[in-house]
Amino acid sequence: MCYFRSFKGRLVFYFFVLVAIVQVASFFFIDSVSRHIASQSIAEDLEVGARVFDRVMEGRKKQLYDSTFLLTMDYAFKNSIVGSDTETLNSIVMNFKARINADIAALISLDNQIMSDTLNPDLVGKKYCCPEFIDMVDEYGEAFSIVMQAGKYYQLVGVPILAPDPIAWLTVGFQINGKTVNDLKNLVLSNITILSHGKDGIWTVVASTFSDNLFDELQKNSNIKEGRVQTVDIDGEEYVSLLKQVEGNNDFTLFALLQRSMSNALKPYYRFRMILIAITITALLFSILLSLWISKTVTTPVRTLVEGVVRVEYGDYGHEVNIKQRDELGMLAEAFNKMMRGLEEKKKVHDLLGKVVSAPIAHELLSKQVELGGEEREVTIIFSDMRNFTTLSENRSPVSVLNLLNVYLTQMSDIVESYGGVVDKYIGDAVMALFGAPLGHADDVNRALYAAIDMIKAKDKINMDFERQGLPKIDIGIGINTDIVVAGNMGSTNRLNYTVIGDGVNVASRLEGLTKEKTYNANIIISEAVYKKADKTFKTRFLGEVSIKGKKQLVSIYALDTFIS
Amino acid sequence: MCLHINRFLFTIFILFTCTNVYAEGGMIVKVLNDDGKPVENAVISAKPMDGEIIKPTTTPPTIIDQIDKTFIDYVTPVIVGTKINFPNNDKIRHHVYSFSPAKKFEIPLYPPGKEPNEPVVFDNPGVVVIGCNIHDWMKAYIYVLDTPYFAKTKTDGIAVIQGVPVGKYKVEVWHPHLKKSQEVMSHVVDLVKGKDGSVSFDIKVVDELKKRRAPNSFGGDNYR
Repeated sequence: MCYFRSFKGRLVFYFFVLVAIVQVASFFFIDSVSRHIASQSIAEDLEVGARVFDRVMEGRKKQLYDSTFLLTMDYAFKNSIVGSDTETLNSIVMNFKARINADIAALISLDNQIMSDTLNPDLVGKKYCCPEFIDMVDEYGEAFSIVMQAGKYYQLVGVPILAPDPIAWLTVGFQINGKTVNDLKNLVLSNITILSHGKDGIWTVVASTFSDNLFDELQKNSNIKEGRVQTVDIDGEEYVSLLKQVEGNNDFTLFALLQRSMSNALKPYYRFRMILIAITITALLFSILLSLWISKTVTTPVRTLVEGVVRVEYGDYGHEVNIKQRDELGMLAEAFNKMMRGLEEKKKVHDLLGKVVSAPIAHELLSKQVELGGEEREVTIIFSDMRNFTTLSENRSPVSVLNLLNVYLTQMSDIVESYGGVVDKYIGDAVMALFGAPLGHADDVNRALYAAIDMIKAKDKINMDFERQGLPKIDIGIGINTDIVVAGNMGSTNRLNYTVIGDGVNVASRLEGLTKEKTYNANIIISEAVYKKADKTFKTRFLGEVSIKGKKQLVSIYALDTFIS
Repeated sequence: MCLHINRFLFTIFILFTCTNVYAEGGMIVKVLNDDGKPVENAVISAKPMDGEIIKPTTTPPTIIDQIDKTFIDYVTPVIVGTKINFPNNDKIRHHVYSFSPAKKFEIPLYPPGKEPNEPVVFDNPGVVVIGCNIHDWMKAYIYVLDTPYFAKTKTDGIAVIQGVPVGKYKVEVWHPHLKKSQEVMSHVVDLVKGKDGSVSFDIKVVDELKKRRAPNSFGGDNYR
């Protein structure tokens, strides 16, 4: 199994393989069918050739008969037969034989005695060899046969010499030899071999269009069955062959073996096959180009979409993918762009919300269904407040004051968030921060204390900057309390904000107010609950017990020094 | 079945026609083929077995006509010594010939409407086949007999030999298409005074070997 790292490569490969399978399967199917048709056509041609052979043989017989018959109608010939001497008769018959280019001729008397014989004149006066042949001539007015005389085979015709009743019989024969089969070959377009099958079972080649050296090969092939087209191997070459009976008598039967060279006959098929191969290869090459084009048309928009997704991954929602297609990919691109626009809008909302509220709160608001209500949670609340803000504002423009305040609040907020807390709200120059809502940590109290220490340190840094700018120094007081409060969305159904409410919040605010007391000399005052839950590594000092508005019991308070033991 | 019907009709024919009509006797012969059908043109001849043949002092001349490139009659039985003329009643010439051993003769092309100057005398018994050199299908048979007692069957297969003296006769039948294997058929008929003799033959005949008749002619069959 091949694995491709690129979708395009996989697409090209699978498309090519699919087309190749179809093409190769088509090739083999067409090739197989074509070869079958070609073979069938060869067999049919051979059978047609066999029929032509029959017709030609019949035509030869008719021509032989017509020529012979015409001779017998010669009045002088008839007249000569009656009462002529043997020499004269021989001369007449020889002359007649020459007239029609026959190979043998014989004149037989009505009592079956040979009156003249061109092949063997010594037989004159003797009984004719084949009285049954003469009987057929007598009965039917004509007779045909294949005879063997002096080792040669002849196509023989016998006709009566009518005057007007038969006065003698004339037999004329044409030898079956190489010329005969070569003449026939030109008509039936097949190699022809005339074979004699003797009653002793021996096959003899009478004549053949094959060259002499194939005679032996041919004679070895004794498995050829009559009347059935079959393929035989002769001297290493395949021949489609058809054996058919021509004529027979008591001594032998003549067969014609029609053969066509398979390779010659299949030449048109091979030409077709070459064209088929060329078409298949061209189609395969074309399929590669096509698959490349198709994969390009598919993968280019996919790649564009991937690039779009990567941009999304990096927070770039402003880049739309540009795919001008009306298909599924086009629809996907459009949906992607819509999604991008949605995400961009959401990000804007998120960013804006993050600026209005802390990031975790913004996340809490965005991730859940925003609805009124809250839950009880243990939350550590920081309240910080800037002192001398009035002095800082004096003789300064509101914008300049706001800028200074923003510098201060930004640093305070950053510190809170760096410890996992959230700025719940700004109240003028005061900051209310939460640790434990909306996300809680096991060490929220410690986190709040560290944040408070850093805030004091940040204040010192700000003061150093202010000093360089000739601005008055600022001071801050921080109150920290931890308690079970209600955290959630409060307000109206149309306008709400995430916050916490409860006594614990008030206590933190009161503690921040206590930092103003000179006697405590503390920038950070924590409640007893905080003290108890905080690590003991924080340096604290007990400030006493105080009464806090809204609390019936006195509350122990501690100052948190800004360094850790 | 057909054979039986024909024999029945022949018997009826004899009863009504042959009750010693002549001073000499008469012979009524019926010739049928294998299928029991009457055979036309069969020649019946009778030779006395116990006496010499009394040949007629004169033999009337006979003609074989040529009409529409056909010899008429097809079969002509004659007694030895008969002179036969061959008038040409066609519009074309004919060339009559015979290569038969009984009478070999030739009357070269002679014009229509005439007959040869000299009739041909048939002075040897036997079958003479005549033909026309320029019309291959024209053929006729002359059966030359050495007895005056003969007759030829008509389409009904019946021949009547008249004026036969009383006595024993060997009656033979011949037909131009008699099958070769057919042996000569003969019957002995004892002709008594006051009663005609009767005899019937069942013979085997074969189809005639004919040449193709030229176009625009009629009556010729294809050569088998």
